[in-house]
Amino acid sequence: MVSQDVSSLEPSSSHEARRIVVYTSNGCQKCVLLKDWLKTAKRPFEERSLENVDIMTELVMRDIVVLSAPVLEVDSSVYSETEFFEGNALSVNRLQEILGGNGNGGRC
Amino acid sequence: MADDADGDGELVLQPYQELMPKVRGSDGFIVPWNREAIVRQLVTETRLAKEFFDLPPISQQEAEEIASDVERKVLNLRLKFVSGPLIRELVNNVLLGISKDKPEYAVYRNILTRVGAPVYDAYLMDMGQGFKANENANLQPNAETSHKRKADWVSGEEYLLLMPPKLADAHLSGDLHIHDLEYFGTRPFCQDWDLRYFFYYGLMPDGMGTRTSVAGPAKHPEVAILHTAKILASAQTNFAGGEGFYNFLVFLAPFMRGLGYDRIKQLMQMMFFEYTQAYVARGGQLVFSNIQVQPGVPELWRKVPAVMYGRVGPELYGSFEDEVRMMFRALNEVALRGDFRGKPFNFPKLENTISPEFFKPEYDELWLDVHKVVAKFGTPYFDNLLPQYRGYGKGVSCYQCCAYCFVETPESSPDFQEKLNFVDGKHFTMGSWQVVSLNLPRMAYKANHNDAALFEEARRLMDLSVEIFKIKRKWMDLIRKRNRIPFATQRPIDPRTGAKGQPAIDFEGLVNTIGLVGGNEMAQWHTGHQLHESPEAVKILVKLILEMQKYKKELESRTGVKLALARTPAESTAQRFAVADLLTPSFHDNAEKLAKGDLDKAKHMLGEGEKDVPIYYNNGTHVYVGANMGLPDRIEIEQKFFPLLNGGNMLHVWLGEANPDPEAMYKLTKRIATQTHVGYYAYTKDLTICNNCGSVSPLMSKLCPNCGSDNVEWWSRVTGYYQAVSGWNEAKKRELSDRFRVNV
Repeated sequence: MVSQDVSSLEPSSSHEARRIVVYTSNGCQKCVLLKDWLKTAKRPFEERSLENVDIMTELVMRDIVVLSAPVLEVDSSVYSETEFFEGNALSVNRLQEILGGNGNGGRC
Repeated sequence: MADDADGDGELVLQPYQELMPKVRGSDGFIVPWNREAIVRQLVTETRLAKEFFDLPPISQQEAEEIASDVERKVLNLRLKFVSGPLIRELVNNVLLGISKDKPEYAVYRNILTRVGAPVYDAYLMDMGQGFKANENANLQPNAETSHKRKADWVSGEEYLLLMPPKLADAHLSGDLHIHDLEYFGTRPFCQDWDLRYFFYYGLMPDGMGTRTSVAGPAKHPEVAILHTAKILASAQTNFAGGEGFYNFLVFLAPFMRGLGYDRIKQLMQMMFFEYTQAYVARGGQLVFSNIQVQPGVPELWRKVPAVMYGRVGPELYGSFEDEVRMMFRALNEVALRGDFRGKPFNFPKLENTISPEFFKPEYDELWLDVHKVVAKFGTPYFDNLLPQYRGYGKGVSCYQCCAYCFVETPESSPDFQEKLNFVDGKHFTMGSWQVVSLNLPRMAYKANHNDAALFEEARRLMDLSVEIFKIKRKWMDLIRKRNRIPFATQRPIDPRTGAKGQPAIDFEGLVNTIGLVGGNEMAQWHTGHQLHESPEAVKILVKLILEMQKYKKELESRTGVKLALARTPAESTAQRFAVADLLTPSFHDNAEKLAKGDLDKAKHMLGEGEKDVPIYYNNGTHVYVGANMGLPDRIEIEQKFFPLLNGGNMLHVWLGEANPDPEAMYKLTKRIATQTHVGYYAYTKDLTICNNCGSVSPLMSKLCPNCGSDNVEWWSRVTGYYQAVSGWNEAKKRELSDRFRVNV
C-alpha cells in the first residue's frame, strides 16, 4: 500500500491545501486510475486501505457506507466512485469540481 | 444353566429360556429373550457411524462379545420381565465402559442410545407445561402442540447425538444456538415463494399429485387467493421457519382485472381470514406468513409478461398498476378494521416495501392508509430500499420470516433475466438452509478485554457454525434423495408442453445464516459501557462485525458454503444464552453483572429447576431496550449496523402513545426511510384485548377500559411478529416491561 503524508507535501495553490484521502481496495483498477491522476496533477493525498478493519470501522462510525472502491474524501466530504467515474473512465471535470470545492459535499 | 431352584442345596439344570426374562419390546409385543437380537441391533444401528462420523460399524465379533456381557448382567438381575429400553441402557453401559480405551465406542453409544422424554415430562407437555412450553409464542395452547413438543424433544436429541460431540456441546453449553434444532434433519429453514410458479403450473399440496388432489392454474380471483393460503400451509410441512410471498400484490393483480373495489376488498378480507384461521400447521400453529406489498408495480416488473391461467403474457405487469393500487388500499382498509372483534390480524406480516418510485406525492394517500393501521395496531413492517447499500433496482429482494433478508441479483444469479421473465418456468426463490446464532457476551467474557482474543473467538465459532451447516447440508441431501420434502422439490407437469417443469426451489440459492445475539452486553463487558453509553462500545461492536464479515468472505471462498450475517429474532435464544452463562461457573459472575431482567427472581427459579426465567441479553446489535433515550439517538446508533448485516436486521420503535397521529407516523416513516441507513423497521403498539366484552384498547391495562373486567389479554410484538403476551417466555415478558417507549 502506498501511503503519503499529506503534511509533507507542499501545496501549489489554496485549493490544493485541501486534505485528500483515497480509500482503496485490492485489485481495484479505478483506484489505480484515480491515484495516477492525482499524482500527475500533483495533488498530494493519503491512501487508506478499505481492507483494513480499523479504517472501515472509522468510516462506519461516521455513517459512511462504502459500496465500491475507490472512495474519495476531500476535507470532510466523502464521494463514492460513481460521482467521479463514468463507467470505467475517470470524469476529470467532475473530479476537478470536487477537488475545487464544488462537490456539493457528497456522501457515500 | 444351573440353579438351586427349591433351596434344598441340590443344583438343578434349567433351560436357558426359563432363566432369562421375557422381553417387553418397544414395538408392543412380549417376546422370549434373544441374545442375537442385541448382536443384530449393534451391527445394524452402528452403520450410522459410517454415515455421520466416518467410523466403521461394530464388527460381528465385537457385537457378540458385548451381547454376552449384557446377557450376564440381565441374568444377574433375576427378572421375570425386562424392557427393551432397559436392555438398551445395559448395552450402552457396556459401550461407555469400553469407550475409556476405545473412544469410538462413545460414538457407538450416542447412536445406540434412546431419545425421548421421561414420563413426568411427557405428562407436563400434555398439560401445556414443562419442556419449552413458551419457547415460541406462535405455538398455540392445543392438543396438537403437546404432540409437537414430544416430537421436538425426540428430534432435537437425535440430531445432537448424530453430530460430532464438540458441535453438540457448543450448542448445549450456550457458545452458540442451532435454531429450530427439532427440524434440523428434516427440512430447510425458511422460504419466500414466487406465486407465478403456481399460477403457471397449478397446485399440488403433496408435491407429487398422488396423495392429494391436483389443481390446475387458478382461473378465478377467489381460487388464486385460496391457492396462496394452501401454498403456505403446504410449504410449512417442508420448512422450519416462516413462509412468504414477494411481490404479492403484483403477481395477484392480473386476477383482479375488471373487479370493483368492494369485490377486491372482499378478496383481501378472505386472504386475511384464510391466513389466520388455518390453525393447522405443525403442532396446531398458524402458518408464520408474510407478504411483500407495494402500492404500485415496481419499475423492474413493468415490462415483464404477467403469468396467469397457466400462460405467460401477453399482458405486462405494468398494465396492472390500477389493480395493484386498489388491492393495496383494500388490504390496508381490511387490516385497519381487524377481525370480527376488532382485533388486529397478526399474519400475514405486511412487508411494505419503500422504493424510490413509490415514495412520491401521488402515493401519499396510500401510504397514509398504511399509517392508519400503524397508528391503530402497529402491525405493518417497512422494508426500506431507499439507502444505496440496498442496491434497489438491480435485483429482487425480500425481508421475510422475523427479519431475514434475501437478495437475488444478476451478479448472484446468471439466469436472472430468464427468472425475471419466467422463461421455461424459471423463477425466483429466496430463503435459508439453517440459522446458527453466536453468544456474543460469552465471546467477550472469554476474551477478557483483549480485541485480538475477541475476534479469534468469533472466528472459532464461525468455523463451528460452518461445520454445522455442512452437516445440515448432508442431512438435506439425504432428505431430498428420499423425497421427504416433495413440496419443495416438486416438478409439476408443464401445462403447455406436458414436460416436467422447473423444480419449485433452487436449493443452491439458499443461504446459511449466522446470527448475532447480545451485541450490547458484549460491548458492555469489553469496554465497560453499553451501546447507548459510549461511542467506544459502538465501535467495538462495529469492529467485531467487520472482522466477522472479513472472515465470512474467507470462509465462503475456502468452504464454498454461502453465508450471511444477521440479527436473528432470538425469541428464546436471547434468554437461553443469558441462562447458560449464569449456569456456567466460569461465566456466572459476568452474567450476573450483565444479564438484563429480574436476576434475583431468575436465580431463585433456576434454583427450583426452572429454565424459563426472566433474564435476557439484548438481541443482535440493538441498544438496551430500556435505555432512556430519544428515538433519533437510538437510530443514530442502530443504523450503523444495517449495512453490515446482509442477512437482515430490524429497528423496533416502541410506541408509548394510545392514539398516535397517522400523519405524524407517516412523517416519521419518511424521515427514517430517507435520512437513515435503517433497512427494516416496525412500530410496536401494545394492546389490551378483553376476553369478557371482546373490545380492543390501546396500551396494556390490567382492567378492560370498556367493561372493567380483569379477564384481559395483552398483545404486543414479541420479536418479529405480534402475538398474545401470555404465550411469551418469561424473559420476553420481562423485556416487554423494560422497553423504553417513545411518543411521536
